[in-house]
Amino acid sequence: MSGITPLIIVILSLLILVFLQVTPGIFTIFYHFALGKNSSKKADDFALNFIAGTEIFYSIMWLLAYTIIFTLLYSTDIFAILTWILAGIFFALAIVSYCFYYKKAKKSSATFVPRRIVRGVLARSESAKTRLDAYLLGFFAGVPELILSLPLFLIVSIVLQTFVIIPHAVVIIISVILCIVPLFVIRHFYRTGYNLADISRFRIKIKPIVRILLSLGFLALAILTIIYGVYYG
Amino acid sequence: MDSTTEKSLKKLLKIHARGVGIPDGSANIFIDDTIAAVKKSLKGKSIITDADLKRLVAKELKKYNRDFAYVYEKCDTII
Repeated sequence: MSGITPLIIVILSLLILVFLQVTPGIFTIFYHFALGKNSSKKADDFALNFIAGTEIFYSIMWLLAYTIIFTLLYSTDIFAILTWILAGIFFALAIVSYCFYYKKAKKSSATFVPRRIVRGVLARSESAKTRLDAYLLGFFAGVPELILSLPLFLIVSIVLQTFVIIPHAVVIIISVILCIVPLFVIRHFYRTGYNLADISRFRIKIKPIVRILLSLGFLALAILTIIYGVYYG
Repeated sequence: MDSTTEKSLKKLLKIHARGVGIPDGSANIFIDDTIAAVKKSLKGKSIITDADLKRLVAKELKKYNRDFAYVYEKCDTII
């Protein structure tokens, strides 16, 4: 069990990242406004710039987490402390993601993101006129969810230090690509004729499943982090 | 409803209409009829909140296109 624990932690962390809903939500709104203000070709161009912004943001976060963990683990002896702290955070996130990830209203997919930020995102999406606007919106779309994604970047970076099956660079590249897969899925929906209402109704339909999956995912990750910490500590 | 608010509401509704794929011609008719109906039902009321206005507009839009009404009403509850 302990031998394959690092691999399971990496796969589980990446799956949780794919299920996070804030960045896809912002992208859904952005694409809708882009379609409302521009031709479908230009809207698609803006969408690709948004995705590029998101990809750069996640690349920076992954590399930052990897570098910080690499430096910390080589210069200090805090491996055990770090794994225990992260295990605690994952336990907390298991509860938080079940109870507070979505707002209570049944007929909406509203998440924990403060309404002031949501209003800001709506205003920025509505006023986006250039590729740079789209790129910047995409870049900052990952920020509200850092509270959930940052611990995932950190645990994967820790696990990678003892991971010899696959080269680290390959894992990081796969991770960055996986982070933007949901955005490409939404883009595909828009390009095949679905609109914001259809996508939103679908997101409301899958809301209970996402909530349970996120919660169970974080719980499993907390347990696996403890096993990993005990085995490699 | 003053003229500036009506103008910005029309602009927002046009964006939503194009976003859900309603042709411009139909959208203009829907929007004009909706605003006329909302104005009529607001006649005599001195104070109205944004939420009331939103509900009234969405109720009128629902008669023409459910998706259009949905995105107008629920846009800020999607994220």
